[in-house]
Amino acid sequence: MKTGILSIGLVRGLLFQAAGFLAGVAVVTVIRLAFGMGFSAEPAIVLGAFFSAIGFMIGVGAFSGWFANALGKPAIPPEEVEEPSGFKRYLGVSYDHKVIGVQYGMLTIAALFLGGSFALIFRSELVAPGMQLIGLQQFNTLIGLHGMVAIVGMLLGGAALGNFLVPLLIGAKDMAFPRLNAFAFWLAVPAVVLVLSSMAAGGFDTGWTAYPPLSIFANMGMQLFFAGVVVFGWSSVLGALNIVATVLRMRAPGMSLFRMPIFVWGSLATSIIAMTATQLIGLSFQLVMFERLFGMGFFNPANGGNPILFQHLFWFYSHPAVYIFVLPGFAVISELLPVFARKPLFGYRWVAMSSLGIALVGFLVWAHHMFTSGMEEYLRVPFMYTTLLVAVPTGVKFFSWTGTLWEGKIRFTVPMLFVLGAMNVFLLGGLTGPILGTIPTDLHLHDSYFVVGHFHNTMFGGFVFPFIAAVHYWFPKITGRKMSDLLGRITFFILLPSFWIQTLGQMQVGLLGMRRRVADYDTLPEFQTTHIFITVAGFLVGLAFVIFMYNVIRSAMKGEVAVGNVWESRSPEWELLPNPAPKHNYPQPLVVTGDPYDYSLTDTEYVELVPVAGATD
Amino acid sequence: MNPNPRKILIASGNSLFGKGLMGLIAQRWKKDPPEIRLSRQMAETLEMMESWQPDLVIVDYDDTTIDRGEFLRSFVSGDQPMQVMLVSLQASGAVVVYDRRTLTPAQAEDWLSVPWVSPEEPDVSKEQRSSTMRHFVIAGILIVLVATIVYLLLNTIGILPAPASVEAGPIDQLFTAHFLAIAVLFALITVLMVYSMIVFRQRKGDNTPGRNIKGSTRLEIFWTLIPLVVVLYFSYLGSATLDRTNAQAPDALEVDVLGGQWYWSFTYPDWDITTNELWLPVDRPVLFRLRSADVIHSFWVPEWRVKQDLLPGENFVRELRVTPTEEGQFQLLCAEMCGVRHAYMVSPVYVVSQDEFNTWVNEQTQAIDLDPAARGQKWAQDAGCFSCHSIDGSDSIGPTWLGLYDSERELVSGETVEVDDDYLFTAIVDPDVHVAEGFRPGVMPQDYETRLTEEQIEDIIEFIESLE
Amino acid sequence: MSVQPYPAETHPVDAHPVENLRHRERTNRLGLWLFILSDSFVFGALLFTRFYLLGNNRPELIQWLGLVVTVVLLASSFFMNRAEVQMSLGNRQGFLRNTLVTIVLGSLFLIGVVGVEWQVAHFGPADGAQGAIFYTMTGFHAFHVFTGVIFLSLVYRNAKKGLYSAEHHWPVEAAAVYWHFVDLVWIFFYPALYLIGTAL
Repeated sequence: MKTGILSIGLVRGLLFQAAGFLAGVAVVTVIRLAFGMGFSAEPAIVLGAFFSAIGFMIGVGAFSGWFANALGKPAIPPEEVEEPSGFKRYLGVSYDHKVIGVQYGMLTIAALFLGGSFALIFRSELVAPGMQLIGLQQFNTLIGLHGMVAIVGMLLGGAALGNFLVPLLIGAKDMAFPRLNAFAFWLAVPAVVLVLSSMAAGGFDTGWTAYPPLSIFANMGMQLFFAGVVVFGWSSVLGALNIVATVLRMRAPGMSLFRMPIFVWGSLATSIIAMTATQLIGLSFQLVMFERLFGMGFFNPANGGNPILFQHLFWFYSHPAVYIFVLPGFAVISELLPVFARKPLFGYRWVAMSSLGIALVGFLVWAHHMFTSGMEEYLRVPFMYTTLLVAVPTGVKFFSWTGTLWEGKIRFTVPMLFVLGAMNVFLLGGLTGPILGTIPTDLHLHDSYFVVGHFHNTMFGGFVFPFIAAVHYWFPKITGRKMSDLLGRITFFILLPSFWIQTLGQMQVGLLGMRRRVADYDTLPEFQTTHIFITVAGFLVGLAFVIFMYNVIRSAMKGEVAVGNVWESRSPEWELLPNPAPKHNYPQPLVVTGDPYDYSLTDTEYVELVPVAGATD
Repeated sequence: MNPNPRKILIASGNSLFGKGLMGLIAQRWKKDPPEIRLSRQMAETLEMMESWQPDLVIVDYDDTTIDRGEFLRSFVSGDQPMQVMLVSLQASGAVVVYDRRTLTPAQAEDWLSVPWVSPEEPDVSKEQRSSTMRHFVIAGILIVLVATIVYLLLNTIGILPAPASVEAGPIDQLFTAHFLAIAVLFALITVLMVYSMIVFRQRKGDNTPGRNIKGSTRLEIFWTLIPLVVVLYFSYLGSATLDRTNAQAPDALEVDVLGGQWYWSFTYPDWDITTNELWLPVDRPVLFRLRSADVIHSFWVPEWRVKQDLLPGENFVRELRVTPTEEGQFQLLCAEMCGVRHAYMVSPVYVVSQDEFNTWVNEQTQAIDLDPAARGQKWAQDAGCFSCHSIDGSDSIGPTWLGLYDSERELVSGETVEVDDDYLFTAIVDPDVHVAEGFRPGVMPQDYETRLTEEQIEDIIEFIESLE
Repeated sequence: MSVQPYPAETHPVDAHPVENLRHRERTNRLGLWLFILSDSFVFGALLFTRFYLLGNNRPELIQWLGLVVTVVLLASSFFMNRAEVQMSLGNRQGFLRNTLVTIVLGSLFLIGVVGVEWQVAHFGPADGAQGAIFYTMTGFHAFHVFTGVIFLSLVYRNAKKGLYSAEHHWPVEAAAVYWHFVDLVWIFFYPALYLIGTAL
């Protein structure tokens, strides 16, 4: 089918997802009836959920190459597959890492927009004590979905940056496994659908952390949430695996690990975490699913289980996860600062190693989310030590960034504004961490609104601001056009102060004793004024994001054409490639002839294309 | 054995360079060993290039005795295939390869004009150093200023609720220590950033690059070790503060706390009292034994600073020790998401003088009302019934009790029942047997049969009856 | 120093020097090992769960049955290795025979665990922590054995069609490594479930 709506992969995928869901429901129902048991909605929709994911993948066409391989038929090599032109190529399976990177990017922006919209709904409710707009169950579902959809958005954003940039930065034609790349991306789509469909099954009242026993007793929507997250986890793992293999195997000759652009280090460290730890959120959610479906006694003491076990398994992923969110952002900051300060990245090797350091230490701190959980007492103090230790490699990054700015020639382009904003906001996030990391102060602050302030600081500083910077920066390389400078500056000057107001408000009420995840609050102590500020600021943050989205879409269609090395960067994709970057990246292999960040040595080059025998240029 | 081994010429005045490379190459290409010759002087190198015609010449880029111009001339003038590899050990192992046949004029020029790479930091002029010092001094003063302002701000704007427990003392001290660290670090980075943004911005028309600073190992070690020491110190502070918070008093007042969806219930084992309001005498250490009836909850009175989760299950009782130091009314908040009415799981806390507390205890133990309905109201209150059942007709999680007794109700099964004594008794001890239309099973706690005596349940039914 | 000079005539204009079959296979190999590393985290977490919930106790199981299925699985790994060796020696018939034995033994393992043990165990999945752990651990493992059997069946069929050679048989190597991994997991699961601690 080459024409018509069914030729669009996404459409076919969604149709097959619905079909798969019904098939799963049917299978469970038939089996149950055959065994003399009646119809039960929950097991039916659980199998329906997993079948729906498989259905989607069949429909979109993500299995085709491997299926052929399995049957022993030769499959067209990924780089020779012909793809539709124009916008349509983004709506179906593509094996081109740049197309996949843009697909991830579009899904990122959609997820951030959707997750943010959920927040604005419940933030409107929180403007005054009492329930005016939505019900209690709806409130709880919305905060849970806001959390998970935003998390998904950030994971997709890291994948977007990694996929688009890593092959370009290391001089490769594509990723190590192009078909796996497409597969990993498309898995994310049915996963998001499943997570959102929890709203149709009664929602869930646990927040995104889904602690049992509450999650065992929650509505059926909980199962769809779990299923969606498990499927998304597989997407995350496979995408990360691809990046690790690509970085280790596909670098241009001469590009030793310590001569890669620094972004690749960040992506590598991120992917190592994503590839391993993610399995534990999948497993912990699956175990709750089994407890609900089969009565297995993992976490409910009434069944012989231990609720704290869930928290250990869950946070073993969910803490390193925050480094998955921010390490790509940090890497963007490290990558862009030299370009716009016109001097080398300070202490490149130390910055590179600090990404791995953060990843490593990040695996050792998870129980700081459990200081009040009633876990084994002897665990609390050691985890406090490891938690505070993370500040050391993070500090190395901050000091290196400051050292890069110092005595530079700073250019205040729009990407640079967002990079500086990122540093400023993450500074706040990083500084509000240790106060949560020492147990006695955490006894007061745990599960208060202060935590909400802290993690929004870190997420905005470590992901949102750098992501916007990266989109502005690499936009010409993606589309051949520039984003609107004016709109970019407007976005920034609305986003930064609004975010500050939002976060100071959140931290203030938290310190004063307001809990998180509450749909309502008393008239005393007087929290309402601050909540009005937080909500208004939140809407302004949303406005800034909408302006950004508008800027992206409009510039892609009608932006000023960008020719050449727009930012005067030494990086290979800017030095050696036109805008937009051509399909298989570099026409000839590139070779490393200098250091990546020698901006001060204006007559040196980082990379060159290997001259072709017999060519005249 | 390959009859035509590759010929490699290594040119360096440093004998270690050549010998080292030779060894590496021999090890690397054991299967197909190339023929390697060393040359230590310019003239020798040129001569061998012409006569021996190596396939590859490896040149030590750091060797200042090599005349690049002459080498280049000789290199491009020959026409046998030859490649040259320029290796610089000092420029972080930089390696460049050129092929004789494809060497472009631009590349040749590059090679000739790149200065010898100097190790570590470039030569810093005196003006450069004093200018940098000036920047540091100004920035330093600003940092101290900003840090002081931020610290004073954090300490004076009353961002914590007034402390009301012994534990709050050391905890608030730790908060203060954190505020200091936050103020200093915030000032440090922000001042340096803003200073750079103003002083080191690129002026119009200036296209020169920034100063060539690639790094400084000394600085890196400094700003790794100092933070390491600081975080270890704060961990120690945290540990010491935790010890002070956990101090065990020998004769603490024991209170068993039961939290469930969405109520609190307090039992004082000393007097066998169960209430839904927490009354405590001031300045007396309390030992709370915390247990959940269903899901995870959490015990938090912000003015006391400490917090502890409640876990379900007989084997999961957790302890929390607090000594309230301020009289007054506080709120006990559930601080772990526990379901739909989590926001409303709040109970009042009354910290009173010892005398007032004794009075209250007496009231609780003695004045058991003679009127069963009044008693019933009290039992209902203590058992948390009013978290879900109103008595004024308003909607809530469970059916309102107003007008409930003797009414006719429809159940979800479709049948209609009369709400009499038997019905209400079953409804309390076995709630899911009859589920009223418009309500759901599995919400009401199932354990009232064990938590209430039969007389108490009958009193409650009397109370419900009284609500016409 | 990692630059290797490459004379221009040995690399075509628009291909990268890294793109040849050997490089491809080595990349695939890395991918497979990364996948195994990732999957180990699942099994590691299950082991953690077992010890967290049961501590020094273990489920009460039929020891001889556990021993039999373990021997069967270990034997299957032996034949898997033989099969792979035969393939690398170019002996297609030897490869096919040994692969078939592996598949049969793997299937016997599945029958032994899911077909027999699960049915005769004196506790069910909903019987406390031991039920939860036993059925989940053996279930996850059995799922991997099952997918391994499918993978091997596909490889068997493709080998029969003559798609592999002594020099290039990457899918065979991949299936074998996966199979050995699943076996290795059982080498940890078996003691954890059957041997360590006192029976409940």
